[in-house]
Amino acid sequence: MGGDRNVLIIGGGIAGITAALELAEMAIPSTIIERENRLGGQAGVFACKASEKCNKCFACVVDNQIQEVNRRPQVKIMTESRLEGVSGQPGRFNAQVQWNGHGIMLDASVILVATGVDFFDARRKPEYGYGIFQNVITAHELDEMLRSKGRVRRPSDGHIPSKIAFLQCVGSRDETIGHLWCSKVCCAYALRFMRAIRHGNPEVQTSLFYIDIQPLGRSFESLLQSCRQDEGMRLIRSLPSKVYGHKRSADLRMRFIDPASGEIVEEGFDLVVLSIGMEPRQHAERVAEVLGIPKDEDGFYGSPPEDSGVFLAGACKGPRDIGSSMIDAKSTAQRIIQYLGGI
Amino acid sequence: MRSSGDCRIAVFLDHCNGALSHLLDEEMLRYISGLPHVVSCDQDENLSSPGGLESLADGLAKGQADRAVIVGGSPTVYEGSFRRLEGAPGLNPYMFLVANIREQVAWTIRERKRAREKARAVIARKIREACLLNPIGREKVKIPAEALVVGGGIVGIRAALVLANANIRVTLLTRAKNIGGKAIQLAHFYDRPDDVSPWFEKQVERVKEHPRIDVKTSVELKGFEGYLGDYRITIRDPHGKREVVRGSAVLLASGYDVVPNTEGIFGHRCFISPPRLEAMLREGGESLVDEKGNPIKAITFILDLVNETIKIDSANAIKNALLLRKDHDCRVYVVCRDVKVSLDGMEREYRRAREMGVIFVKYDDPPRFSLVNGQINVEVREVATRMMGEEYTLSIISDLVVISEKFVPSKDNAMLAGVFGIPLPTEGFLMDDNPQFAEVRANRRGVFIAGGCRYPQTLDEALVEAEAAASGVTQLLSQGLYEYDLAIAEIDPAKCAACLTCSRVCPHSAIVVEPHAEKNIYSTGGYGGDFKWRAARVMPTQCYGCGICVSSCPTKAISLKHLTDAEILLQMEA
Amino acid sequence: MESFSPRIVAFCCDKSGYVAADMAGKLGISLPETLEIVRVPCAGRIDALHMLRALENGADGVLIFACHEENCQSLTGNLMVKARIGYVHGIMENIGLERDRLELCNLATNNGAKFAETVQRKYEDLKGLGPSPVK
Repeated sequence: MGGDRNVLIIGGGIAGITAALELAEMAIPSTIIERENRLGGQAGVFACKASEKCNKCFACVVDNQIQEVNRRPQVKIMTESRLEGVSGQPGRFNAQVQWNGHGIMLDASVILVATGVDFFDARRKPEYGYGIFQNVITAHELDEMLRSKGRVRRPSDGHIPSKIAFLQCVGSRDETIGHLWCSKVCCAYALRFMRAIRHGNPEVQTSLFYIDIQPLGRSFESLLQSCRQDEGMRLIRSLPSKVYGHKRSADLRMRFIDPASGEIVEEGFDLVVLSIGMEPRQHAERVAEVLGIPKDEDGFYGSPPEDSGVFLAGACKGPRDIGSSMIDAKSTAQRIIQYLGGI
Repeated sequence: MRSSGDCRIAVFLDHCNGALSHLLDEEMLRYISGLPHVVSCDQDENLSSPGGLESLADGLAKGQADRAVIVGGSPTVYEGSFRRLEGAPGLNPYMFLVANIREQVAWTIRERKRAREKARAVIARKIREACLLNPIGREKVKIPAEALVVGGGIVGIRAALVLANANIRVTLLTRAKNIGGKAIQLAHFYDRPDDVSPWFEKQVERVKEHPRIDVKTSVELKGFEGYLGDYRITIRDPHGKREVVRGSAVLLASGYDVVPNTEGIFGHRCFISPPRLEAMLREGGESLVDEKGNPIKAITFILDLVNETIKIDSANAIKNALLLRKDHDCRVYVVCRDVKVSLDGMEREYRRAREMGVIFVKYDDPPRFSLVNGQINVEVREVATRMMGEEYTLSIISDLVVISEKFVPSKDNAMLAGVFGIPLPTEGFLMDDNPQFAEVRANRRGVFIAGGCRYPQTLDEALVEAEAAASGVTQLLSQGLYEYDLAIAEIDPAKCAACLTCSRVCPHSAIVVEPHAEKNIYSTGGYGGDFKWRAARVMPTQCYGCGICVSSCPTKAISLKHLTDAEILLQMEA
Repeated sequence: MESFSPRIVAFCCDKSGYVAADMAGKLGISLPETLEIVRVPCAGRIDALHMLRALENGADGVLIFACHEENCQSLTGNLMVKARIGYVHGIMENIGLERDRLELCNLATNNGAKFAETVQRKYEDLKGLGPSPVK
């Protein structure tokens, strides 16, 4: 084993950060290059979804890991930087990186791709009225609201809504847009949102419109049970096809099949939240090209060849929650260490 | 615990790139320099930048001060900097305090005058607190490259291989006669075209042949003690012989149990368990026949009566439904509450299954079963039919009905939790589901946990978890040394009444109670020179410095080195 | 009573309250300058004695910020402090101190908004209750 071992980590989201920390514990230095001006990626702006107790959303874990990685001298962090190209060979890579407008060269023994995912742009489903009706928001916007204000409010008037509808599978499990995957996290995050909101404002009624409820994690059973028992929550197995506006107010209406009676009903809501799913990251195309990373039929990354010195971690391989991304990153860090031991 | 007289404080003002300049003006500088014990007061534009750190180091190297106060942003910002200064001449990292006048004063108090007053009060108090600081040392212990793996299922196997490949000697313990666990029941993977058996046998072979892995089968766990670097498990073999096996760290992978469903009608030969179907598909050959040799024409999978939020049965059902349609041309029905597709590639598999003619029937009310001419009639009210305004019950006549076995916590979990000092929540699986532990870390330093003993998972998920847990072990063992600050709890044995409160409340099992104390304020005298009193002792490598024991001790025999009562009380003074 | 600015002592643990307090600052939310923050490594470090001392030393109200249940890095620190608060509430009742002067708030590191909201709410409540009878 000669020379300096170091790892170039592309992407400063939870997977990249976790991998950097694991490597740092083994005294292996790494450099994280991150496109945004902050670490944390998609999950870095999620809100805590606790109700009377922690609901295992892991949002705080992301914040904690960011703090932790900032403390490690072995991890160099370069925000607002992008990978432009790579040359060299496995074990001795040479990366061209754009950093704050300068082009610089970085040496690396191993490259770890942790570029994550994009969230589905809800404007691609115009029938849901996102971008048209003020009070149709995405789960992402709900996260931002809860994180910075602590309370959910209707965009139109700033008041707390009385009836919120969550629509599932927006951008997932949908052949009309060619997204033939389940994003895995949306059912759990919607249920957590509903619990958190109702804990803070018990007068708010929430309804979940879904196709199939997807379990996620060990505490999902108790989360689901508590939601089923909550009288202020309805879980409705019917996905409305369209969200309608209201002539004289910023309220919304939806038509759906009432599972109990089988009849079509129409109901009004004052806030609709679209549970958007994940999709392959558009701007990471370049990274995949440069490094020759294969893609699966859905556009998520497949494993690079064994001796290529290129590794993957986290949601860029396929939608996953924060906990699974961390586990995946730890497992990949272990593989990187074995690889470095052999070169 | 005030330090005797000697208290010379160097103050560093961090302007935080101008954010605090309005507070850190000449007047403030004069005020601070005039406070008791302050020997120097330097400023920097950005103390946490490389240049700022250099000036900090230079300021300390002058040697006039024996402690420092940084006036600037949150302490969390500077903690990394202190680590970068390690080795540089200067102070012990615990001789620093930070007066947080940015996040907690400048940014929350709009009115300038009030903000200044507050800043002065906060700084003055931090200066007083600094006089209470004491240096805290660093220790190293040797960590031999040995680990213990408890559990011989696929998770234990994978973890053992990862560890052994990282040059760690592994002792793998299992209660069973052979290693293998439940994975051996699987015929096919759901996410790749290979067969499980050859892959599985290869894993087992590699473990058995690996020079650094020692497998001990048919052993019972009799005891566990020790700490990171020296954990000792007492095992007992079938002949009653006891042995102590050692490791620097422990990985628990003891798995879960299954409870077959054979009550009432489910005991009929037409009801089979998922592992039984896997076996039939593996042995099967061209046509699928039942025990009596009759051809199987219709199979129904019943899901979600048990294991509703576990994905294992669902993944195997869809996988096998595709196989049954492709290779055996059976009619296949999947009866479930929700179709679970939250696994990589599973939505596509589900759609493929439907295209190939697998019928999925979703229910709200559980299906009912009856015997009709030697076949099973599965009656289920499909939710879709209700939606068409009709209310009728589907009747599925099946040759074979696959009914799940309930996944439950291992019956050994209570014993394991007790022996290893791991929490056992009401659900019965090991270790709390606490996000801070990132799934694979247990509450005890050096103890890791993975796989089904935490929660039943699919094979691919369990393998990744095994590697993640093994990674935790390799990190601790890789350097051969474990370094830690003595920022921990310390027990004065003379005051300890051995009431056991601290050892019971410690969430990290870091306290032992043993005869080690020289003397005790409760003693009545008359004991010989060699006599040792029982007293509680904190195992330094295991302590996380939370202070729960400190506040629980009825005789105040315990102190927290990095936060004494005096320091707490000073923080709340007016 | 108009010029009464309640003095609040807030115990903040490193793993939740203290970072949330920083986040409140980052969000630019105004907080009363009579707020004193006492930093502890874990809420479990907080003894009944510390809570009573804070009140004895002139705090009009005491807030204890601890991790959400099932999210404590020391597993049980938040439960320990909850039990002790119950105990101290009993003492407070016996000596004629209003229970509202001591409150537990569970939050996470990223709950800056909740930290601020709790402090502001307590501040207003204490204005109504008046200065602590201990003073």
